Amino acid sequence: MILEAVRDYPVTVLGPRGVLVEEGQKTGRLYVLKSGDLEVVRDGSVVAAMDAPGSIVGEMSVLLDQPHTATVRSRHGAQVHVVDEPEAFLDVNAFVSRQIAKALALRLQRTTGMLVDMRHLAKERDDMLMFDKIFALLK
Amino acid sequence: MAETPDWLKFEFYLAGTVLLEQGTQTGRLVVLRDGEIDVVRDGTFISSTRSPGAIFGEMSLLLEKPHTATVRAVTDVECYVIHNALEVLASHPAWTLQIARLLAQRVNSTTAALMAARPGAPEEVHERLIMPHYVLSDWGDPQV
Repeated sequence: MILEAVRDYPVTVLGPRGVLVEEGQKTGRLYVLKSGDLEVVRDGSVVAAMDAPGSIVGEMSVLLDQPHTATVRSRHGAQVHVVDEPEAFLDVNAFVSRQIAKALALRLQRTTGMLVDMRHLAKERDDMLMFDKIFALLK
Repeated sequence: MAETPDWLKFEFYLAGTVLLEQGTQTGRLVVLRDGEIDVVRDGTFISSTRSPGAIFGEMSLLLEKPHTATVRAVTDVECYVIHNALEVLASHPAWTLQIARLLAQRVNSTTAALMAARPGAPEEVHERLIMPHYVLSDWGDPQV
């Protein structure tokens, strides 16, 4: 459905290892993968990869009006639709906003879950350290 | 003064009332206007808020899953309630965008917290989505 909506938008072609956006750059654009693959690179490591046509890139930067927080490049090459005025585009295509909101909700659920797990682990580790200390005192 | 749109209901709840119940799927979005609300999961207190504009029910709505926590009025509260919120959102793209924006901020802050999570890091922060003031004032005062 989203590919239908962006059908008439310009396409940029990336070769292998071609870079779509650089971390820290502010493009103000929304990108929709037409074909090929994209990977998200932060601090030199790949944190996400996508190859489903219709995948959206740049939504965080657009929504928060801030520079891209990661570099997006292609591994094997890609064709990507470029949406120059995302606000106007989203206004007309409400379902895309809905799709973005849903994806964000999923991500939030995941990151919140990881955060809770991590803090439990951290607490267990603290408890273990405490136990070690007490044990050392008893020896 | 802006008129309150008809999809937006102004509701009043007595202290102790359950607004959204864990495990149910109401399709409702609740926006706090005045009073205090708390969030309880599996009988355990999670968080409370008095911030006007705080949103409840958005995760259940967007993910089309039951509420993962119960939302309860601690004091008497005044709320804006949107019934069949998915339908309303479908015809109000600006609204969806606003919620997406708030979610993006939260994704950012949980990601940052994840990076900072380490032994001795501060306890989990349960943030709510808070509507900016200008959105609330756009809705105007309810004509009761």
